[in-house]
Amino acid sequence: MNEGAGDDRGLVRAAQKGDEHAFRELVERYQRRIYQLALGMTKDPDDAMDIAQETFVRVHKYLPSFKGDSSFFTLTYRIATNLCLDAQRKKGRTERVDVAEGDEAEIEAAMDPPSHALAGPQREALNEELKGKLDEALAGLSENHRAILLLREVEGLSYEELARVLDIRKGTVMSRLFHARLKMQNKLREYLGDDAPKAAGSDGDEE
Amino acid sequence: MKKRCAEVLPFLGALGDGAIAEGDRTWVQAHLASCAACPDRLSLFVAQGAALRERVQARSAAVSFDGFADKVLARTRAEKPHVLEGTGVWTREMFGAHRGAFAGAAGFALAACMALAVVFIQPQPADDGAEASQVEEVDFGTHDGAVLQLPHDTTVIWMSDDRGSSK
Repeated sequence: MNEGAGDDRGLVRAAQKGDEHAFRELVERYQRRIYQLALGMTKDPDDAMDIAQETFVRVHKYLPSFKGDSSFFTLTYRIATNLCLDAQRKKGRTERVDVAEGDEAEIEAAMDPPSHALAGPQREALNEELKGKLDEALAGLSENHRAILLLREVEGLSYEELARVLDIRKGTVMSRLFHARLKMQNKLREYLGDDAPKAAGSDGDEE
Repeated sequence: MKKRCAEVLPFLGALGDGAIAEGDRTWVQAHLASCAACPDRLSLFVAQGAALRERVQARSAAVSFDGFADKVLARTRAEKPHVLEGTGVWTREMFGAHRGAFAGAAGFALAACMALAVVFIQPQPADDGAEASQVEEVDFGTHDGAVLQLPHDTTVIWMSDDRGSSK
């Protein structure tokens, strides 16, 4: 994920000295990814574009105090994620899920025989239908679950980077990601209904 | 639900992400090798992530970012931080980075100020017209003594009993 971090440092130093070209390059390097994150969070292309723009304005504002002990993209994703969460709260989506608590029902559901709808050769056939359902399933998640799923699955942040961006412990990253994935999976199961083929030998065998 | 599968489930995502702890990798992989269902569960997590990635990237791929950076830069020019704000940030950062040096310098400056105050600030008469205090030694015959003349017509007479008793 952070393959450009070394290059970023030089650009950040130049931008801190007022080099607009350097800051422009940083913006162009991350604009689509930040937009992607905002789009996944808000679902609204206009809101996503506004958030992306505001993210870089704030990044620029914080540049003088940026010491480089964290990477530039971590700072950028952190600001973007907070802006997305703020925007959701302003719209009244204040759902909060205690992700530390295990949801037994969800875990039970996930232990059901896995569907071939998402995995295996039949996935392609269901892919088109799935695209629309993915948006709905994603929108049905809590903000925290949506944020961590997008940052991990779409942006490819490592667990350490997720901890820094979301300001949570690494152990919480694993737990939150697990529950987010379970919820997503269960929501997709609902959409796919009973037509989803069952996996052969689907009951878990004991070791 | 098999007990071992339920124990493995929370680790499947981390295994797929390459983020599982070394201590857990062995037993999780051992279970996957002997379980018919859990490899499918892992595949499901991985496929779900891939589908989500494809979907979000496809939606954003169609968006043009022409002029995006220009708009950002225009806003940063318009929203240049106020001088006081910039000074505040500079002060915070400098203090944070050189806290020890700042504390030492402040202590040294305070000590220097106190030393200068002792050297240069002399006691001044209370009133311009007041006379300075005077002490005059007086022989009272049977006693030694002194007369202390203070401003505002105040006189203090001091007599010692020692001379009379010693003689």
